This record gives sequence, C-alpha cells and structure tokens, in this order.
Amino acid sequence: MAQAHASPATSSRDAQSVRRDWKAWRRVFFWAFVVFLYGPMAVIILLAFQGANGGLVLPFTGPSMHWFADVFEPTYIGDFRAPFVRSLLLGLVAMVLTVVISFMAGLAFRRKFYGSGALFYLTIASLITPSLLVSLGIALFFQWLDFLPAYWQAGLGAHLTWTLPFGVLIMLAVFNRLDPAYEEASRDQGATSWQTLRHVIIPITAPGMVGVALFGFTMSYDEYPRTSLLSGDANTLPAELVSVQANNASPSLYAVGALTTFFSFVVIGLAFGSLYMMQAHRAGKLEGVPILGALGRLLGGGDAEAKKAEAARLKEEAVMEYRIAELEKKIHGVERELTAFYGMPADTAGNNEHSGR
Amino acid sequence: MSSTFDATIGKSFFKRYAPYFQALPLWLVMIDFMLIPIIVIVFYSTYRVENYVIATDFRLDDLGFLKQYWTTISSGSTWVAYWTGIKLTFFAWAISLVIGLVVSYYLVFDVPRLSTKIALFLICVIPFWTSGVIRTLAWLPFFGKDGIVNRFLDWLGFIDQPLEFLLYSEFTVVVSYVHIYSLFMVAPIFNTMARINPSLIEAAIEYGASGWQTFRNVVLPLSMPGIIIGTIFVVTLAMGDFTSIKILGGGQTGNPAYLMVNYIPLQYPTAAAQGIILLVVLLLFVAGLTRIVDIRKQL
Repeated sequence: MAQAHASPATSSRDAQSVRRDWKAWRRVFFWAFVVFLYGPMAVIILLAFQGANGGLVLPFTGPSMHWFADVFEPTYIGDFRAPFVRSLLLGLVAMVLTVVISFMAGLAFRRKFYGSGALFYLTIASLITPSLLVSLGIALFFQWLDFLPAYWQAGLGAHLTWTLPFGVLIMLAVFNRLDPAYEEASRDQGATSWQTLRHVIIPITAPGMVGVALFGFTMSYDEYPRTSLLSGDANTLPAELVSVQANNASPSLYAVGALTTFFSFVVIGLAFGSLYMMQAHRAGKLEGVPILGALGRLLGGGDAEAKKAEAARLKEEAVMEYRIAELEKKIHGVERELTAFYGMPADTAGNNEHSGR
Repeated sequence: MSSTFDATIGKSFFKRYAPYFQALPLWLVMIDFMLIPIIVIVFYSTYRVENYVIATDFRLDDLGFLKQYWTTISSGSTWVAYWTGIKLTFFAWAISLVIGLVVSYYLVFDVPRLSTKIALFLICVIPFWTSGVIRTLAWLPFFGKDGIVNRFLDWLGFIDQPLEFLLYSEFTVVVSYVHIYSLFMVAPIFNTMARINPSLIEAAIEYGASGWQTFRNVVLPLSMPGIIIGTIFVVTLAMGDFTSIKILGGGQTGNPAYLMVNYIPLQYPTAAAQGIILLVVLLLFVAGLTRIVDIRKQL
C-alpha cells in the first residue's frame, strides 16, 4: 500500500501496460480457440474434394467431385440417402415436439403445481444421464414389451430425452424474462386467456421458440449415442457414418461430412434469418419490401406499424396500471400497519392489544 | 354470480389445473423414455448369467439379485475403466475450464461492443449445432501417421519418424473431448460472467488490485455458478462418452461406458449393472455440486 502511494503515477501506468499485454494474449487465445474449433472441420471439407485416387489423408490430389458422386449412389459400403431422409424427418418431428412440449412446460412452470420440483429434477436427470444408458434402457423396455425398436418411435423418444431438457431450460429462461405487466394489460383490456396466449405471450416468446427449434432439430439430426441401440436395421445418418467409418473408410465419408456440415449451416442460417426477420418486422423495417415484407408478416403476423403503435400504447398502459397496482398494494400495506398499530377500524379491533384504549 | 355459476366452474377448473395439463406432455416423455427405462435397467441388472444362459428368477436368499453388481465391482477391468475414464475426464475438464474462463473473460471484458460480443460468442457456439460424429472423425486426417501434424513437424525438421501417440491414444480422445465439450463450459461461464457489474472490476483496480488479484478475488467467485454448471456438463458427457473413445481410442483404452458397450450384445445384465453403477456415481457427483449452486436461479 505504502509503495503504491509513493509513486502512484508510474505504478498505475505499469499496471496498465501489463493489463494491455494480457488483453493481447487473451485475444490470441480466443482466435486460437476458434481455429481449434473450425480447423478440423475445414480439413474434412478440403479432403472431401480429393481426387479419385486420393486417400484419407494428405497429399491432396484434387480438387474433384469424385467422392460426392459416390455419396449419391449406393455402394457396397453403404447408402447415405435413406439415412439422410430418416434423420431429416426425425429431426423435424423432434423439433416440432420439442418446441410444443417445452413451451407448454414453460407455461406450467410459471405457476406452482404439485410435482413441479420432481418434474424439473427429472428433466435435469435426463440431461446428465449417460446417453448410452438411455439407449440401453429404452431397448430393454421395448424388449420387455416385445416391440421392435425403430428410429421413429424408440429413437424419437430417446432424442426427446436429450432435446427437451435444453428446450425446457431455454423456455424457463425466456419466461423468467417475460414481464407479467403485458399479460395483466391484456387481461384488463378484456382478453380471454386464449387471446392473451395467442396475441401476447406467443409473439413475445417467439424468438426463444426459434432458439428451441434450432436446438431441437440439430441435436436430433446429429444424435448418435442415443440412437445407437435403437435404430434397428434402419440407420439414421450419424449411425450410418459411424458404421461406415468402422468398416471401410474412403474420402466419401468426408464428402458426407462436408454435405451434412453444409446442411447444418443452412439450418443455422434459416434460424437466424427468421430471428432477424421477426426483429426487422417488429421494427417496421420490412414494410413495402417485396418478398421480405410478406415473409415478415408471415413470421411476425399482421401489419407491423399498427402493431408496434398498439404494443407501445398497451405497454405504457400496462406499466401505468402496474405502478398503480403496486402503489395500491403499498397503500394497503401502510393502512394495515396503521390499523395494527392504532387499532382504528372497529371490526378488527378485537385482534390487537391496543383495543382497550 | 349465481346465474353464471355453472359456466364459471368449468372455466375455473381448467384455469386452476392448467399447469397440470401443460406439464402433462413433458411428464409423459420423461416417464416413458427416461424413468421407466432406468427402472427396467435396474430390473435387468438383477438377472444372473449362468453357463452363458440368462437366469431371470429373483433370488433373495443369497443376495443372488446383486450378483451382477458384485461381479462388476470385484472385476479389475471395471477399476481400470474408471481410472481411465476419470483421467480422461479430468484432463478434458481442466483444459475446458481454462478455455471457458479465458474465452469468456475476453468476450465479456475485452470486447467493447455488445454486437461484436454476441457475434464472437456465436462463432464459438455454431459448431455445437453441427454433427458431433463428424467433428470426432475430423481428427483422423489430423493426427494419423501420415496426418497433417506429423507431416508438418517432419517438414519443419522436428521429427524423423511420425509420432505414434498422436492417433489412437488417450491424447487424441482428450483433444476430441475438449473440441466437443468445451462449448458446454464456455456458454455457462460466459452467461454468468456477463452479469458481473463492470464497476466491480474498476473498483478493484482503483484499490490497487493487480489483474490476477482482480480475477482471483472478484471475477472467479462471481463466475462460480457458471463453472459448476459447465463442470456438470463436461464431466457427465465425458464419463458417458463411448463414441470418441471408440473412433479415436483405437481399442487401447476404455472408460466405463465403453466397457458397457462391449457387454451389451452378450451379457446385458452385466451391462445393466455397470450402467446403474455409473449413473449412481454421476448422480452423487452432480448432487454434491448442486449443493453449491441452485440451477433454477441461474436461468
């Protein structure tokens, strides 16, 4: 301390330059991490364009489309087309179910209900249970029921145990940030609960639901461990990739990898595109823009400007009413305290000790 | 009031019990595909394997129903698998933790603009939405005998012959774990760090704390919930992994989950007991950690 006081100027300048140094190192670390994340993916995509006589590793003999052609024709090592369709359908169904079930559960968790704690911890347990155990459990359950497991029933259920915890956690976070004043306003204006849900809650939570949809689709589309014991003889795409890799690896494996990675990027792009559209539509930026305007109306619903004005008015009203209600509550509280202290109103007089006066 | 009584009772019934209807689908999925399957595994773990035949009678007298558990615990390979699994998980966890802290710190405190922050964070998260199997396979051309790393080192003149330990080893498996699971550490730590009031850091610096002291005494304690949640993710995922270890481990190493995979086709009662033991170990670990942090408050 004493030293710091002796030469405050120099020491703080030294400290600052040290701090700046560390900042530079952190930036280097961050970008190194990004390279680490994307590097292997980039190599896979490069090697997918290997020449016809190229192998699984360098040297690179391409570029050629040889191995991509392999993907679209069934060869002795496997057929990727049917598994892709299966994974796509499975992902879409899992996505819809995840969004609907998570949204409903999110609504439920806003209120206290019997068993809510148990349901929450069961959902968390589903997140941390090793995926192999879920797969084995469902396989044995189906064996016990004498059902043959397949990707569209047992596999779908297994995927939901993985996508739903994420969906529910996201929806809980979204609902935690939802201001109850909006609903109160809607109710005060005479809306039924269904109208409130349709016109207030769903539009406000829509971006969160797009996030849940993205998680739901990609996590199901890419899931291997949970389907490993459940797909029967009809493999999903990740399961097909693992079995082909184990049996006979050729650069066509990388071609599939490149294609499915590209597909994932398209899906991510779609999700963020629709998020952007929602936001732009709400801000009224898409009015009069030929195609995007119509898309925005489809995603966000209705005429943006009118909605925006109406929403602003409603919000203002809601905030006022909320404040009035809070004030009233406070006034009631003060009244109660006063009553308790002075024992003023005659009908409650019997309950306090000052009644004798 | 009295004239609308019949109409309102139906409405209020639905309103009152609405959470039960809304939570019903989640209950159904969780019970059918989570709770019952685990109970079924517990049942199957009480079966015995005698002379390659599975005996399903429930024997209480000599604790016959615990035979699979006894076989598992007394087998040396179980302990080896747990040692390997814990070792791999520990290294993956430690490296992920460092990555999570440094990357989050950079994003939260070094990057000035919010939109840049979000864009850079998304760059880290996007791989999470792509195929994990592909991201595991992607290390094959990197670390192979003829792979990029070996060729590069050879070209630089550092090595005469390829480094064998790069592929099909515990090293590769840890690299793959960090590659796939570090996002589970980065996201929660970023989330909690972003909520730290920057004026706390300024105050610490004003009072003469060094960068390290500020980090150690201010940032780290306030990031603890994120660290705990990330730890839960990384540890449970790495201990339950059998894909990376199958593709990149080369059959030389195995963790408890990989041991289980080998037992499933022939002796599933043994696999069931191994699975239940693994689940109990993980649940105890997580229960211990959740005493430190309330997950529901962090959302």
